[in-house]
Amino acid sequence: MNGIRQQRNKKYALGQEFAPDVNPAWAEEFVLELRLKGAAGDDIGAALAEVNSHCAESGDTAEEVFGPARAYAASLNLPVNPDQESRSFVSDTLPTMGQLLGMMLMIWSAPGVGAGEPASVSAGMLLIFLFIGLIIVAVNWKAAAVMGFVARHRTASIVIFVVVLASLLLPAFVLQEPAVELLAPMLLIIGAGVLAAATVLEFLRSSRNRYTDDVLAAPLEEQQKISRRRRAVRRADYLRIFMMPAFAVAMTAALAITAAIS
Amino acid sequence: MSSEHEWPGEWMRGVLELCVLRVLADGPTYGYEISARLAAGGLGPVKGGTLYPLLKRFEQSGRVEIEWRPGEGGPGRKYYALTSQGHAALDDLTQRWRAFTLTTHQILDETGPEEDR
Repeated sequence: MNGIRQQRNKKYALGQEFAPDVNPAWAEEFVLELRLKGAAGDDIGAALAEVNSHCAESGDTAEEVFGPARAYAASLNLPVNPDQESRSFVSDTLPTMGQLLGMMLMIWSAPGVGAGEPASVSAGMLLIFLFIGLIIVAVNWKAAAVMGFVARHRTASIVIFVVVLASLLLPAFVLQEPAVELLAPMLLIIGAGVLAAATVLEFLRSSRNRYTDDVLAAPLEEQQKISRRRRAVRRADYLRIFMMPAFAVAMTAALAITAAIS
Repeated sequence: MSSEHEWPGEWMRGVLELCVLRVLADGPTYGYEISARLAAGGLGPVKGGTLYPLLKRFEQSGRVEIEWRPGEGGPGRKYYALTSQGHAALDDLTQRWRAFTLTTHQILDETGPEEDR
């Protein structure tokens, strides 16, 4: 029981920090809806703080006073953050696609590099690459809708994820005949080059963009606290960028060593 | 007029803008205080889902200026202060509302055709 309570508290930590007098689930839904609408972090923080202030003074719940969180968030008509508006689908998607392509090339080359043989890429592997690429494009294209669905329907999202993953792995098992044979070291060099270039590009894009700094901020909140929150979000973003190269290097090394030994 | 009255929603929507401007004309105040004064004045409870979007529209159109102040032993409060544009809107709407209610009274007080005969 305590475990569940702790989990719930952790899940709603954001709402509890910004609006301790508001039902955490209501606050979370409210923030999510405004985020999906592209509102700025300080506007969202101010709107939530006002709800909290009213609930604290009146002793009423947010549901009683403001109605459903989604409807109230929509009724405020908060302006879209200009930094969010400047985002482009192409510059958001291309570096990630480059990272994925580079990683796949490296992994495909690994057994050949280890065994000193040509790298063979099966039709199943090419299909996997195509599927993952399509998923990345679809997620970036309809980012708000996908994020909203995942946040509101967690169980259904997990089921969909497992089904998609299974349908991705299936062709890899069925279509194992080599479709293409290439020089393994060359494939490795090209893959590493593409992955490195895409990672640098994504790092530069992330460092320059300002919407990563658009964190939730309450009115009257200390500037130091907001800066700390910004740094934490930046760190998480850099972790996301460098996770793929780290995984690619580890996976390639493991596959190459395994092939060399056997 | 007692606040026990449940006024029709259409009437409330029509008059709320004017009444909130009038409350704000007495000096800077915050959302909960506005709703409490409207209720005490006889309008009955005004839902936050109606009041705050209206205040947000006032803010976006320049009728009010806002300032966050620390609360008295509680969370901070967002104070709304009427701007000159807000005062002008209040004067204009007050005049028009008076003309409108006068017209309504005249229609209601008119003797019907059957009684004329």
